[in-house]
Amino acid sequence: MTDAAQERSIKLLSSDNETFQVPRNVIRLSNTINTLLQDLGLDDEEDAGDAIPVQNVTSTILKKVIAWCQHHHEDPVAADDSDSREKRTDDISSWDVEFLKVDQGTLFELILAANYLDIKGLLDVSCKTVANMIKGKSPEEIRRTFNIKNDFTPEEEEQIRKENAWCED
Amino acid sequence: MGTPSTSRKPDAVQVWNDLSNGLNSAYNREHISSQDYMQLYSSVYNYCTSITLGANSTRRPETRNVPTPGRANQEDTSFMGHELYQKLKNYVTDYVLKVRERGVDLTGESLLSFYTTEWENFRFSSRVMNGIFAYLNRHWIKRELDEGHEDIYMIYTLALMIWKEHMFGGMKDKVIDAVLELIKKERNGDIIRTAYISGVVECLVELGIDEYDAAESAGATAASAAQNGAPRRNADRAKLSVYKTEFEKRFLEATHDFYKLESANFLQEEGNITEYMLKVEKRLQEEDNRCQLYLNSATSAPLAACCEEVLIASRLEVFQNEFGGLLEKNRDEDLARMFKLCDRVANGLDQLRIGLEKHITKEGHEALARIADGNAMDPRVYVNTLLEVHQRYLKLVQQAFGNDPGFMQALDKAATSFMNKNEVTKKAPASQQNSKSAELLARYCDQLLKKSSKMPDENELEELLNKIMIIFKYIDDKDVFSKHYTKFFSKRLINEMSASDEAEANFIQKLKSSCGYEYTSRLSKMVNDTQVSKDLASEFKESLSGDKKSKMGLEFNILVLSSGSWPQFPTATLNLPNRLSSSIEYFAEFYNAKFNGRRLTWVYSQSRGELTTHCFSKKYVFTSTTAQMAMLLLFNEQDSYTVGQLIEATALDSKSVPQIVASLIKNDVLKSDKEITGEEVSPDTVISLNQEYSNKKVRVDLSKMTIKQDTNRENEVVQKNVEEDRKNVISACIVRIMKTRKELKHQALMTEVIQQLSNRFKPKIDMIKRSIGSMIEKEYIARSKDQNDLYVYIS
Repeated sequence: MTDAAQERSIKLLSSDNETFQVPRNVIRLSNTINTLLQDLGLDDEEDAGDAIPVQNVTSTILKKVIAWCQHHHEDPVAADDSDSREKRTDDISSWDVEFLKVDQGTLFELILAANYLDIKGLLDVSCKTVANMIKGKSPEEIRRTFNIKNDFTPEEEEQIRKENAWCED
Repeated sequence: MGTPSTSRKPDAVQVWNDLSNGLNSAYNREHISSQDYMQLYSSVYNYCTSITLGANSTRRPETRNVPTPGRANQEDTSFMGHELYQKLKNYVTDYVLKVRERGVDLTGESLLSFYTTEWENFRFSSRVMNGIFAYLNRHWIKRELDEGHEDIYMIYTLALMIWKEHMFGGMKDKVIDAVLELIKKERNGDIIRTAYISGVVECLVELGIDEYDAAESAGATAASAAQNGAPRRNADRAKLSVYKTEFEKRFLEATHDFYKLESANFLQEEGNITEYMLKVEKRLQEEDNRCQLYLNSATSAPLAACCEEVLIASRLEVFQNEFGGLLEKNRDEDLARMFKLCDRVANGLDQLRIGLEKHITKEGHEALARIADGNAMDPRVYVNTLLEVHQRYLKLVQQAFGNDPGFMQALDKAATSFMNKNEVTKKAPASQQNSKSAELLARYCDQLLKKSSKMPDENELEELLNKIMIIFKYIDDKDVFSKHYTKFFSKRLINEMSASDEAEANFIQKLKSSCGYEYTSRLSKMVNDTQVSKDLASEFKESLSGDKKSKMGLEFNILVLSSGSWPQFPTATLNLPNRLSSSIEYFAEFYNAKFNGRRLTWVYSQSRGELTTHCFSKKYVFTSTTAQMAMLLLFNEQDSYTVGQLIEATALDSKSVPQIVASLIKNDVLKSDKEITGEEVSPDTVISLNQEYSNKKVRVDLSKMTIKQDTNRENEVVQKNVEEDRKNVISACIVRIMKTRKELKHQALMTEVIQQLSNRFKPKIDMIKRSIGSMIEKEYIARSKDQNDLYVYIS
């Protein structure tokens, strides 16, 4: 990518038809958009053309996604993404913790958007946030947290408890 | 949980219709707008996620008995992913088969043109497809790979696999044939379209994709730069198996055949080695460029090896046969070229090294044969001739042969050979042949370090001495050199003939760093002696009372040297004239008072003095030896003596007197009534003072005439000393070795002795054997009772 290509901005169109201008090197964090620009050869053209429709993401969420990318676009690329690296949920940066202090609906929509746009960093950190919400809670507490109706019969519940007894303590 | 706008379940048929339209655009290279692209990407995304979302919102009753919820969802997605994957596979296969159909009748360059264009198109389209189906890659395919399912690939890889099987598999022989034909054309001087070849090569490299395992590929795709980076990165990994097996093997075979024929033809027609080497050099360069330009750089090494094998290794004999001739003609540039070429193949240099050694040996011997006519060899000419040969080939080794250690060794071997035994040394008496070189080198040192009219300046001298050290290193008999050098050095010190103390010390330092402290310890002691002696002499002079001084009536100087460090001097008896003997008495008195129990031996043969004459028409100052002086002083009493009288008066032996008399007659100071020839002179020959003596110079050195002794006899004495010394050194060495080893086999002992003495001289085998015998006699060592060839140290 040339420097000029790095600095230009890309137009994104949310599902509710709001247009966003995003610098090229910020949006590169989305693999989906990045690949599109490269595959269609749009980096080499003067004008990136019409806005790219991001039809699965609403303007509210897209705004947050872009904000996240803006903050993280200069992060060093993670050296090793292989499975061998220890998975932890307590390494979320304070900025991200603050960023993800949102209502559950928004959080889940961010996860979906990150998955759709293939933004690995955002997907990781938002999933970790959900994981932290589950961690250390009893089934009943989890149900309360996520507003889930218990649709197991008592027999079914007993059965599951037996099968999972090994991890209880 | 709120579900976004994608909750409507997509119709599978409708979805595939949309997608195949999109694929048509991609594979027909039609313009795809970013809107269309996102539309297609979203279709795949929605299609793949719809089941999961649907299942979450309404759980079906039949899943109730399944212990792990969610399993059903996976099966659904799995089914849908698989369906999509199969459809995609069929689509690409169809496309590739159609492409192949169009190229089936093509050959040669039109085939290459077709193949490379289609490949580029296919690659581009498949990359777009890979982007559109990115979500399938990330989810369904990744999971399949994680679970270890075979025959499932990332979309882009899948496309490559299909191409490889149907397109490349079907026409690879024709394609590679065409490539090889094109390369052959270029080797024959045609200009070709290299883009065809590089296109095919890139394709082959990329088709190596299935070589690394699926897990690795999945990992790479999951990484941040995934979709787009993956295919390129794969190429970078250079898994070259397809390239190697399908192309490189055949390419190398073709190369082999091509150059085999070319070199055979060339050598038959031209036969000129210089031309051939230039040709080979050019070809090697060309092939290397070829590799960099349009093949894979991994071929560099095998291609070079192939060319080297055909053009050099299989023609080594030709090189070897021509090597001698090039040396003969001093064709340094060709020699350098030959070295570089032969250096590229295994064992290519071995014969050249042997050839070089032979040649230098021959050149050395010939050069010395040219100067060996004269009876008395001028040491300077001799040493310079050795140096010239050595310098010539040192330069060759350094410049043409890149300082190769093997070639350096060849030079060393050759130099050792011609520097120790050659036409010049053969002229020497049998007993001195081995050590002639050492002697001449020592003489040359003496020439350089002695005071003379044409003294080299400091830098020149340093350079000359360094050159001497080059030869010195090759001399086998370093102990002989030392003996001679010591002899000349002592003369320089005693007669104060050294040109510069600094140069002397410098050279001793050089010898020391080459052979060790022990080698030069004697020389250092000699230097020290003269220093101490100077102080002693001035102390003596100060101690003299006025009375004694006037009694002596002459300037008197003494050198007191410890006999152990200096060469042996002949000590002849001599009646000193009274004028001289009083000085000696005074000094003896002084010395004995200062040191108790030391014995002074006066070495008249090394002493000299100055006489002032009053008997001739003019006043002259004669420098003379002690014996000459004793004789001349007699003529203060009377004008003539018979030889018999002279012998009696001086108490010299009857052989020395005629020599001394002859030296004085030659200088016209004395005359005799009969001619004196040789040593036999009748005692009644009358010797008288030549009253008419005249000389233009006021100062005359009479001593020079007598010093000229028979060098041959002198050398014999040295040789004898050397032999004596060697016996001792060898014996000492044997005892030293046995003392540390306690037990040693005969052969091992011999080897060790030779090795330890190698920087002094080359001991003869029978000499070592004799020394071992005498060590057994003297009961330092004994033969083992059990093993006859084992020696034991007796402590």
